[in-house]
Amino acid sequence: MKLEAKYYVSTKHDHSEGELIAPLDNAHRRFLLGIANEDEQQLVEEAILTGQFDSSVLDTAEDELIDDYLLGNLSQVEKRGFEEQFLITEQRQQRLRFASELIRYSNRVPPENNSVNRKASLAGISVIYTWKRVAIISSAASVLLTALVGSELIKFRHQTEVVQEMQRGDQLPGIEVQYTTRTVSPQVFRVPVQARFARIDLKLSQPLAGTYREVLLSASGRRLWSQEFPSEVLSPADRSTMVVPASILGPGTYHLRLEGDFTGGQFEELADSVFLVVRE
Amino acid sequence: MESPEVLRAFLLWLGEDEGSGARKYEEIRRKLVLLFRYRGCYIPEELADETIDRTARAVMKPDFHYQGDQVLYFRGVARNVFLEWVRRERRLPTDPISQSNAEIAVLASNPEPDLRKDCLEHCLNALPAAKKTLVIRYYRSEKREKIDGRQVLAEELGIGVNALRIQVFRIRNALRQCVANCETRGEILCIDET
Repeated sequence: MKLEAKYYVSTKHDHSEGELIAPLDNAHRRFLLGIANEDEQQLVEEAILTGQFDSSVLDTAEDELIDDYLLGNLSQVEKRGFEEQFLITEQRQQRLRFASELIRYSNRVPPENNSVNRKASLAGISVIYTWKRVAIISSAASVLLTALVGSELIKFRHQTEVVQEMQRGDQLPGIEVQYTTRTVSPQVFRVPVQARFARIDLKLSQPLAGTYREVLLSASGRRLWSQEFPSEVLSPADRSTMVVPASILGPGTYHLRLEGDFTGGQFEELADSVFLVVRE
Repeated sequence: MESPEVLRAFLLWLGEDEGSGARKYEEIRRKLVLLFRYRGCYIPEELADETIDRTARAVMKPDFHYQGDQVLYFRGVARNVFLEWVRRERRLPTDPISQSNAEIAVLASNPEPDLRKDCLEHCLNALPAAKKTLVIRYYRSEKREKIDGRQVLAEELGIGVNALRIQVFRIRNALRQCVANCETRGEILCIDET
């Protein structure tokens, strides 16, 4: 049997570009929803494989579909496709949750606040557009510097609250994790439901590396929090304290991985301790 | 790929020489990954590789004859690979997840709503005020009213609705990355959506 007979081969690839693009307007939405007919599937697949559609076009279409779903602008058939086919991937589910939160947040902001500053804000948008052009042409380096300084300031503001909590560390629910390579039975960390922060102490009596890093991981290996500290902080208490938001500690199993930097730039895993969080 | 000889022959089928064949190979693989991803497949790379391997095996057969656009041949193979994957997925048993594993899975993939809310607020505040206002106005109001609201917003800015949408989606992408970073690492990084 000849192989080409086995496959479905297009006969429409010699259409002009204009003929192809027009029906693609809706076909790509229906394709993403899994409700496209044979011809529409063919059009979209060929558009992807020939480079007519790149990821930016399809990502935008996905965002539009998510908005339309949340705003109730999909037909019954589209809605079913969205729920049964489109939401099949975790990535799209995350995007839906994000868009839903953004819409909720936008509706919580009082309109008065917005309208008071509306003209100034919209004028600001135009200013930003103009400024961007000038900045790109005149000084890319200064933009980068501003961004770096801004980033550090924002991180600093965000972490101020954590630092304040660290200063009150002894009052927080806490657990002390020993530096071991094997955990025989996981420790239980009881965190009150109303707690906003929790303290994790790492006991390490003989510092060997110049810098250490503690990494808090979920049972599935997802990084939840990390903190670097120089070996000097270990004396005299022989321990390092990490304060984390209690909201990231749902009930379940967690790993605290200790890594050390012996060479100045490369962290190596030294130990992995397991503990069980119980919210009560 | 089964052997270096098969790979070499396949590259020569794709391009005029091994170099151009290799470039075409990478380009086709990238597009196949996109194709499977947008079909809702969660292992697009694996299916793209399977498509390429099958095509290479077919090309190596002595009775292989194909005249036409290679991309369309790949599309045909990709379609079969995808349909087979769908059939396999439907056959897979869906064992119930034990309660403790379910909690971990939920935690790993779905951070606390309060954390997400806080992160979103932090990230919105990290935007220039004008852009924050733009996003909030774009997403505020109820259901179909939004469409008219966006028209008004676009007119106020002196741009088309399409340009407005692209601008907002750019900011939204940057926000989404900022929120994801905040949820996993507890850091708010500078937002630059360009």
